[in-house]
Amino acid sequence: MKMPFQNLRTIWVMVGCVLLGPAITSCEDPIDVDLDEGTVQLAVDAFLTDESGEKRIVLTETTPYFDNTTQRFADGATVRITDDLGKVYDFQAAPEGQGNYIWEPDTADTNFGEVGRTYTLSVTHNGNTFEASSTVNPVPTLDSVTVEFREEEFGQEEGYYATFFAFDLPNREDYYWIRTYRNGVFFDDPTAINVSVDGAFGSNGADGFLFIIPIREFLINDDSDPYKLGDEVRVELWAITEPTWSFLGELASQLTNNGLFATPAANIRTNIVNADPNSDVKAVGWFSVSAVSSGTAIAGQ
Amino acid sequence: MIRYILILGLILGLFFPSIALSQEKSTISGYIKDGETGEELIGATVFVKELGTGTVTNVYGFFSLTLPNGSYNLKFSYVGFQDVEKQIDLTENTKFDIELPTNSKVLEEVVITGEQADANVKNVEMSVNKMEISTIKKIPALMGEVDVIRSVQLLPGVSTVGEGASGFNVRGGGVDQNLILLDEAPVYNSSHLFGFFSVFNPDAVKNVKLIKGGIPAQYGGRLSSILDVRMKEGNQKKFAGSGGLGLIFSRLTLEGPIKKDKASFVIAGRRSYADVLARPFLNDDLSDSKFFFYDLTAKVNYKLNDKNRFFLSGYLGKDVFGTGDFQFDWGNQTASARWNHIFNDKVFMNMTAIYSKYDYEFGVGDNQDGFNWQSNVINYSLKPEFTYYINPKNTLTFGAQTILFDFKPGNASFNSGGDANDISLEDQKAAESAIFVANEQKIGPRIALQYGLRYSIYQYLGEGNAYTLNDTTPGVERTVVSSQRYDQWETVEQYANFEPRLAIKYELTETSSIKASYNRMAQYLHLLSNTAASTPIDVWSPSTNNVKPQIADQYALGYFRNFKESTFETSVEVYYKDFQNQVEYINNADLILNEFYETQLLFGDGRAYGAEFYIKKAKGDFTGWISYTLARTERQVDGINRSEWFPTRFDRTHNLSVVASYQVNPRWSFSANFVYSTGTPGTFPTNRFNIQGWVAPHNSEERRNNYRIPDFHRLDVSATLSPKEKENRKWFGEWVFSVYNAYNRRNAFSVYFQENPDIPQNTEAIRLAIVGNFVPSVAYNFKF
Repeated sequence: MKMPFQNLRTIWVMVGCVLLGPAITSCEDPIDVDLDEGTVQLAVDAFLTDESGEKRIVLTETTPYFDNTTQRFADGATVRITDDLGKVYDFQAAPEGQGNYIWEPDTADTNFGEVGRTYTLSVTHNGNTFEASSTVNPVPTLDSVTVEFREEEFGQEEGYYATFFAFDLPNREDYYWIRTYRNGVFFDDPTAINVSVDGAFGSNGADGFLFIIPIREFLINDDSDPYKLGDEVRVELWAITEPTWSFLGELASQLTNNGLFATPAANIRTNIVNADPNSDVKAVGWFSVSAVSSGTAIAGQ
Repeated sequence: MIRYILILGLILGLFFPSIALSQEKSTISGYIKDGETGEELIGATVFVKELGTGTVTNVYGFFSLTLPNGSYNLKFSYVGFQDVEKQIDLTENTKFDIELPTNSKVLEEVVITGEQADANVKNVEMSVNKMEISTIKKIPALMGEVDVIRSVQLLPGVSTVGEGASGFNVRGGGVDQNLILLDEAPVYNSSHLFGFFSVFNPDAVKNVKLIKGGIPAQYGGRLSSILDVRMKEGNQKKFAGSGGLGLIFSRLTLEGPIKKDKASFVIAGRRSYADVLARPFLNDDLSDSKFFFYDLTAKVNYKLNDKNRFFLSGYLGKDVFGTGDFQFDWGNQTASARWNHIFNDKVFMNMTAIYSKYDYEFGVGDNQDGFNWQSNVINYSLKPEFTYYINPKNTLTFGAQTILFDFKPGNASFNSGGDANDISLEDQKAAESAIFVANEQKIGPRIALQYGLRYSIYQYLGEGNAYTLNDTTPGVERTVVSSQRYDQWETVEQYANFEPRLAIKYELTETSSIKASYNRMAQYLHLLSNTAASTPIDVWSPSTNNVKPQIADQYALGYFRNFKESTFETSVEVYYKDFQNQVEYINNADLILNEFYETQLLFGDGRAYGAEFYIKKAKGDFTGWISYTLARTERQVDGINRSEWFPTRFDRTHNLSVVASYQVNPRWSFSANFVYSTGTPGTFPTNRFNIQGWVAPHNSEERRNNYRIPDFHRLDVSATLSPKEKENRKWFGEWVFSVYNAYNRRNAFSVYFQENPDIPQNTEAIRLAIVGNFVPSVAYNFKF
C-alpha cells in the first residue's frame, strides 16, 4: 500500500507551499555531504521477458554514491541461464562491451520465458559465482489503451491522458509491473514506478477485478507533461513474482524517500546470492523473467 | 531483589506511623485558592512556623496536615500571591479554605513556577519540570502561537527529531513513550498540522508538569515521561473572557461562575483561518481545497458540599485537509469525569472516569473508483485514587486503574470500475489494569523518601486471530506458521509486571540537596511508526502474543542548589535508562493495512544515558533559564546494523536551550530563546549502482544511522506591549510581535539522496528544511 504515502506527500506540499507559503519558502536544496566509499560489489541488472529477440543482461560494479562520472563495468564474466528442464542459455559478451552480455535465439529455438518455467542465472566474476532464479508467471491480456484530452485541472496540465484496461487473473495472487513508453521512451519517473498485486496496491482481495484507477491511469501519466497530439503511448503489463514485486517496491521507495515522513534508508533487496554460502563477498541487483502483454494507442486518434 | 526491599519498605512505612502515635492529634484540612478567580492552586504551601514543617496542596488544591494539639501560626503561600498567616488553637479536626490575595505588584512580573521558591531543593521529587501557563506565554512562538509542547521541548532532557515533527523525546525515549494527559485523559496525538502546533489551547490550560524520572506509582503505561496538563476550572467569582487573533488561529475563551462559589465553567475554542484568508487568492481549481484545524475545550465543576466536588472536562480537536475528491482528517476526543471526595480530614479520594479516542480518515475518489480508510484507538478507563495524610511525616497514596482499549487498525475499502471491495482489518481489544501504593515519608529534617509499587496486568483479548510466526534470520520478514481463532473477550495473551518506584532526598544545607531515584515502567501500547517523524496515520497497536510489552528501568541522581534566596535555581542530574523489547522494523517494512504487520517487526534493547544542567532565574525583571543536556541513546536489534548498537533516530549529543525574558517597564517586555542541538543521525548510502536506468543507493556496510545531518540552531525573539495601567480597566489587550528563526537559518530536518531530476545519472544530497526562512508575526491577545 503505497498510495496513502503518496497522498500524504501531496498534502505536505500543499500545506508547506499554500498555507505557510508566504512565510516559508524553498524547503529543499542540495548540500554537500562527505560520504565514505564502501566495498565495491558486483551489480546485476537482468530483467528478461518472453518477447522474441535477444536477451540482454548488464553487469556493473558499485561506485561511490556521489561519483557521477566513473562507470565500472564487469567485463570478462561468465553468464549462463539454465531452465528447470536443463536447457542452457549461454550469454556472450556483447560487441559493445561495457558489461553487456547477450543471448541471441537461433531460428529453431525461440521459447525463452515460457510460463511456468523456472530459470536460474549463474554469473562468475572475479572468481566468485553468484546465482539467482525466477519463475515465469502468467499474464492477462491487456485489452486496450485509450487516450483522451483533458482541460487543465487541479495538479494536471492540459493535454492527453492515457488509461489502460485489463482484468486481473482470477483465483490466484498475481504480481505485475506496468511499464509505459512515450514514443518508445520508457517513462522512468521514480515516483511512477507502477507495481501491483491483483490489479490493486496490496494483496487485499481485488482478485479478478479491473485494475484500479491509480494503476491503470494515475501512474501511467505525467501530470506536469501529459501526452501530446500524435504521441504513441505503449503500455506493457509484465507478470512478475512476489519477490520481484518487493524489489521494485523497495527500489521505488528508496528512490523517492524524502520529506517529513521518509522511512529509514534501507538497502534494496537482492536475489543475487553467492554460490559459496561461506563467502563474505556479496552482490547487488536483480534477476527476473516475465511474460508480457501490451497495448498501444496514439494520442488524438 | 530491589522489588522485595521495596515491598518491605512499604510495609514498614505503613505500620511505622501508627506505632509513633502517642500524643493527641488533630487534622487541619481544606483548599487554597486564588482570591481573585477562586481557582484552586496546585502546589501551594502550608507552613507551620513552630514545627518548621508543612505540606503542599495536591492537584485539586487540597491539603491536609495532622499535628499534635496545640497553638500554631500557619503561613499559606504561593508565588505571585500575598502570603496569608493564620493563628489557630488546634484542639479538634479543623477545616477551612484559604484565599490568597493576588499581589498586583508581583503580578506584573514573570512567574516561572507557582510553588514556594525552594521547592526544587526541598521536594523529594526530581527530574520534574513544572511550567505555569504564564511562563509558556512569554516564550517566543512560531507565528506567535503560544504552544505547550514546543515549550516543553526547551526543558532539559527533552528533544525532538526536528522542527515540525509531532511529539517530543524524553531522555532517549520514543514519542510514543510519553503519557500525555489532559485532565487525566490520555491524548494519543498531541499535534495540529503534523507537528507545528500542539492540541492544547493555552488559554484553557492552568499548568503543565513533565515528569521524566522518579515517576510516582500512580502513573504507568508509558516508559519515558508523564506530561500532565491541567485545565483551568473557570473563574468562580465573575464572568471573564480571553482570546486572541493571530496569523494562524483565532481563540476565544469564556469562563465564569454558574452558581457563585459552587459551580463554574470554562469553554475555549480555536480555529485556524489560513484557508479563509487564502481563499480569494486561490485559482478556481484550488478553491475547493480544505485545510483547517480547530479544537474545543470545555470544563465544568460543581461543588456539592464540603466533601464532594465534581468535574467534567472534554476536548475535541480535528485537522482537515483535502482537495476536490480527496480528504484527510484526524483528531482527538477526550472526556473525563472526576469526583473528589473527602472521606474525613485525612483521606482524600479522586475517582476519574475517562474516555479517549484518536481517529483518522482518509478518502479519495468516489463509488465508481475510490479508496476509503478509517482507523482509531478508543479507550475507556476508571481510576480511583486515595491519598491518606497519615501525619506530617507520611502521606500514603493508593489506588487502581483499569483501561479497556479498542483498536480499529484499519477499516478500508476500495472501488474499481464500480466493484467494491472491503479490505478492513479486524478490530483488536486489550485490557490494562494496575494497582498501586506509594508513601512519601520524611525522616528527620533532612531526609525524605518516596517509595511505591505498581503492579500492572495486561490482557490481549479476542475476538480475533492470533498468529504463530516462524523463526528466521534476524532482519528477514517472518512468515505465519499457524493461526488460531479466539472468541470475544477470550484472553489470547497475558502479561504482568511489578513496577517499583523509589526516590530519596537528602538536604545538605538549607539551599542544597542531593536526590536519587529509580523507576521501572511497563508499556503495553506501541505506536507503529517507521518514518522520520511520526505521522497522523501511524497506528497504535497493542501488545500481542508476538509483541511483548516494553520495559524500562531508569536510575537518576541529582544535585540541587539555590542561590540568593532562591533567585537562582540550579540543578545537575545524570540518568541511565535500560530499555527492553523496543520495537523496530525490517528493511522496507510494510505496516499499512497489513493483517500480518507483526511479521514486519523486530525487537531489541535500548540504552540511554546523559547529564542535564539547568539554571533558572525565577525572580526579578529578568527571568529565564539555560538548559544543557549531554546525552546518548542507542539500540541493539538483531538484524539491524549488523546486530550492533546504533544511535536512534532521535539521538542528539548536545542540546542547549536559552530562554530569557526582560520586563523593561510595565508596558514593554522582551523575550528571546535560542536552541542548539547536534544533528540527528541518518542512514546515508555509500555506493550506487544502475538498474533499469535508475541509480539505486546502496550502503555496502549495512550500517544504520551512520551519519548525522547538520547541527540545528535557531533564535526567536518577541516583544509584548501591554496597555497602560489604569484603575478598573475592563478590557486588557496586548500586542505580541515576534520573529521566529530570526537569523534566517535553513535548518535541516533531514537529508535525503536522489537522482537529479534533470540529469538522472547525477546523484545529490538534498537538505529538507521545514522552516527555511525567518517568520515574523503579530498577534493581539485580550482579556476581559
